[in-house]
Amino acid sequence: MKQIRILTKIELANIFSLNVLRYTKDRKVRNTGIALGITIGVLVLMAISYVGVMSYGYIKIGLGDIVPAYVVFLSSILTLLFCAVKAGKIIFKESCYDILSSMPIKTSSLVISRYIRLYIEGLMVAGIVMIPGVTLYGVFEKPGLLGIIFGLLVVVIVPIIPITLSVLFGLVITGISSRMKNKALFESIFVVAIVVAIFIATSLVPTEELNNFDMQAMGELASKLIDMLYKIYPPTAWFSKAICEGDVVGFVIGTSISLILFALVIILTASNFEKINRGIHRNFAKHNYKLGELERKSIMKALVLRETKRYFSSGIYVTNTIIGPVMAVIFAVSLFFVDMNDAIKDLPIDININAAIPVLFAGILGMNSPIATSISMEGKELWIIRTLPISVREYLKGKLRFNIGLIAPFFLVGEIIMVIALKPSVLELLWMIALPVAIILFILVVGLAVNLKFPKLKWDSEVEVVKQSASGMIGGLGGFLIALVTAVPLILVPGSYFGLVACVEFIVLVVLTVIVYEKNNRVDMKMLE
Amino acid sequence: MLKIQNLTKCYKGSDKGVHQLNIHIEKGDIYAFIGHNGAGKTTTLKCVTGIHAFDEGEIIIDGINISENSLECKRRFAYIPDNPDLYEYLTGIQYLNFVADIFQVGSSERKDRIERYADAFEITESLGDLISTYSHGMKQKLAIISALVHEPKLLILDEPFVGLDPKAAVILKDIMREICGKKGAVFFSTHVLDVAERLCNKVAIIKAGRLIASGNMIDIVKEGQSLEDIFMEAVDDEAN
Repeated sequence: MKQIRILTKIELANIFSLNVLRYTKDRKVRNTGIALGITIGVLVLMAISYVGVMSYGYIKIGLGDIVPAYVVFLSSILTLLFCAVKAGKIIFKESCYDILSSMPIKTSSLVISRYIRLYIEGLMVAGIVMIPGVTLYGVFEKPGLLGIIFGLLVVVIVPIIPITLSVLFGLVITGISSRMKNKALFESIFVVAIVVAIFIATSLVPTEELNNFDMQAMGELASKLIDMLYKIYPPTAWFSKAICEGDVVGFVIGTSISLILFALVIILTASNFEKINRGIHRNFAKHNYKLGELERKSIMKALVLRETKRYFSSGIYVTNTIIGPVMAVIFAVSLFFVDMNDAIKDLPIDININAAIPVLFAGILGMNSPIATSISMEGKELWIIRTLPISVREYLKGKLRFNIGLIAPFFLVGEIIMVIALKPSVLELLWMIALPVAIILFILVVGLAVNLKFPKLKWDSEVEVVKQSASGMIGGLGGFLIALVTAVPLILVPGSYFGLVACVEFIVLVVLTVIVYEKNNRVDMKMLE
Repeated sequence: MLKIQNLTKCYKGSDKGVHQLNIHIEKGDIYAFIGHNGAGKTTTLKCVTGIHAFDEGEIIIDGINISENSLECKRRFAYIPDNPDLYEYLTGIQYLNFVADIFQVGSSERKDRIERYADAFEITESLGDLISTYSHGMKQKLAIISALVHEPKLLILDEPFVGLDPKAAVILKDIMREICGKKGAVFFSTHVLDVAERLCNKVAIIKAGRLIASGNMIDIVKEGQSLEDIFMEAVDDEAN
């Protein structure tokens, strides 16, 4: 127990770089930390507000009983998505492995401490969703003492199953990829496939029934929705019944299964820990290279090639940043199945939703762009760029070109699909291409600006950069916000003014892009510390 | 070749850094830079190579002020840090090609140079492997080859002998002498005082960010003494 306590303390010490922020004397690091804290705070507040408004809405329209099922399901999905990508990296992280292996530490203690860290992170995510939902349910629906007690306990227990599943994913991914030379590519494809599958599965909601929302059929609709959530994820049933009905059996089943699964996965991991670690650290060195002809490339080609190799070498980097482009294409495909005009026909104002579709497509495409963390990803290796005769302009241009090249295929496929689905006029087609291009370029230069402002060059794991850094978080949602701001005037103006508004927006975006681009190029790389 | 004039670099919230440092390295010099851990050696080298900004002073490389034209300066030198963190996602040959492309080294010259140095350091067969599979010594060797691939006029090295096997250390010393023979210069920090004494014609001793001795090795190390004696005397005198 003592070992677990000590190791857990070390694991938890630097969650979100708190230990560094506590002891650093560098004002810039502290300011970046404060900015990160504010960003996280804003995101948490947004999430709490969203869940709170949704839950309150359900309660007000008489669908209060759906709230526990809704928050249990939503928090489980979010925890699963949040932890799936990082579980393997945390449990089998390489940093300090050699030192810890040489110490008299039980493997099980090491594994449990890392599980606790993962659980704490999952609990934070689940808590953001569960606490406002369960609190509002408790206040307005008055489920009784047992329901309130179960409600409090469920908040703590709900993250266990998704975390266990994410670790199992991590084990499978790591186990298979450790036998492969290109581990990163396998990891990326696997995780993206899972996320897309979850996205598609959860979007199979009976939209027809929801769209034909009938106040008199509310009770029936609520029960259909609850049944659907129960079927997709059975623990929703156990835990929501425990809160709503004080169902002891449901609570005991849910808790027991959570804890048993958790214990089994810990035992499985601990007993295979060294074997998996050996696999992860396995070298594929051949020692048989023979020097042949060496081709001279242009500086820009060399920089873009290096960016490409950097990007595809990291599973977590690819996984986190390719989701946006994949989702953008799925969004374009969905236009064949979902009529956006039909979806908004009951709204009290007249809006031109088709005008916003290409803009939203660009926003999704630019979500979590790798460019927003591309400088941070250089880490300790940034000394190479700093000492080579490369100007900041060339260096950043290399990053821009790579990112444009990465997005281009998704953009082209998505545009073709949208053209087929929406059948635009010539003028609409022009703006359908020009506006997304302008938005994407703006998102890219803003992403660079954010990373230049908040670089994180000292890190042990790529997870810290991709998922926990200020630039990662701001860059993650920033792109979509830019698209949303662009979309609002387009959908609100009458159709006859569409061309004019699109033209003004295009010019504004181009001018802003040039300004931010030139400002980026004036940054002194020596200042990135 | 390298003039460091009144260099001052302070770290915020810390009394570490360098203060009013003056070093003059001429063509043909092999210049040793010695001092305790934390004395300011690496900070100085990082200011010279453009990794760190500095607060005061001037750094002039081959007649060019680094603050005014850093790119031209960088085309003239190569730097090897004490712990070469290289691009682990590239193979050795990809890394060497990347550096050669940045310096626009022609195909045949780069092949000749890589072949020569990689064979000398005995890592040719590993050049096709990812750098992540390399040992510390192999990374050090690769960093040295990448530094030499564009034939720099000035070679700046931070603790270059740490992690190198004895044969590689001998080869590196030969390379340093060769660069100086071609009217280049070498500036390196080290804790290995006997190597510095035998290899270098000039030396600078730094303590707590201030230069406490510098000049020709034969002027500083008198007969019957060693650089180690001089170093200990110098740092002790300063302490008293």
